[in-house]
Amino acid sequence: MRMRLNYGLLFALTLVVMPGARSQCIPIVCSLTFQLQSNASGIALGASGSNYATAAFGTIQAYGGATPLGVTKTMSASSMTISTPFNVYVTCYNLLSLIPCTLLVSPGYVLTAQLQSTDMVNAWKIGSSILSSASATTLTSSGVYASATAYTLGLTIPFSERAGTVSNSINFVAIAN
Amino acid sequence: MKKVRFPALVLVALVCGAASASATSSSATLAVSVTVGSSMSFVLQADASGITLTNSGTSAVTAPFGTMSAYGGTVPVGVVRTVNGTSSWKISTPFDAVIAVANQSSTSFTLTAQLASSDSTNTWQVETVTITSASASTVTSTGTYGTSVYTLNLTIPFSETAGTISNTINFVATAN
Repeated sequence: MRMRLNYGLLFALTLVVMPGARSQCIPIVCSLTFQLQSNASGIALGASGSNYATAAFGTIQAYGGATPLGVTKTMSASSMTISTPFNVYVTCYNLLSLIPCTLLVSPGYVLTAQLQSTDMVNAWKIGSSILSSASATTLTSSGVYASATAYTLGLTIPFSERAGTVSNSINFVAIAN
Repeated sequence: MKKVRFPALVLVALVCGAASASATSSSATLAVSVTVGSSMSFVLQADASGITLTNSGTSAVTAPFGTMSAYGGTVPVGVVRTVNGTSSWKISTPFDAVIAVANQSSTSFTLTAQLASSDSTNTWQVETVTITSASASTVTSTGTYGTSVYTLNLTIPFSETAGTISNTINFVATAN
């Protein structure tokens, strides 16, 4: 009887620590938090540190004019690209013990981004990944918890775009591995 | 025996019970807004057939002709000298105006030129349009965006005293 008890406990514990079993355990024990933060070299985000931040570039023109602090403007023959870094900060906490999940269950996370609205004129990028509203784009499959990771938002506006406001929202999703 | 099995079963169920549940996730949204302003670019650059401009490719260039005389002497590369009978001589050189526009629907521009300082002795022209300091002269009202070649002409009468002639031509391109 005592032998059977020990095997049962061993089996259960093995599920916790074996790599193949960890992903099965995540939903019941792990909770993710997601923050968008201003990067020290980037534009100041509104509501930085929350999960709903704003990046207001103000008025930018291809030739001349001012470029906001932390924003880089690059020109090509037919378009301008404005870019700025920002930080993604994702944490994962074990709901049972309130210790970081990385110690028990989840080694990292998958980060995706998707445009909320279709934009047929301008090109939106995070790093080198092109965003669209059609589907989510994977930015990384090995996100590191509790580490402010810098990503660069790039928006390419062709000269053919009419003057006026360009706006959109980027929806990020972090999924525990 | 039954008392022993139950805790182990509960633990196994607790750990594995979520196998069919959806993955843990969290989301965030970044709202981005940019107000795009229309703009225009205007630079002057040396033409392949013209005089070498200092600071070519900028909006403030210099055309240094050096020392020239009506008869004899040296004519800089890219400059044409023409003697008009016994009354005057003219020096000419082409240069490029590179004008671009962004984020507006304009397809052409008007280009004007005006001397910064009055010159009542010599005659300044861009193409065939005479330039004065009194008002801006329209060089073209149907300019095409991109690179356009214009010719600067300076006519100097023989009555002009030997010495340095200098002036500045201010160009303005306006989107039509």
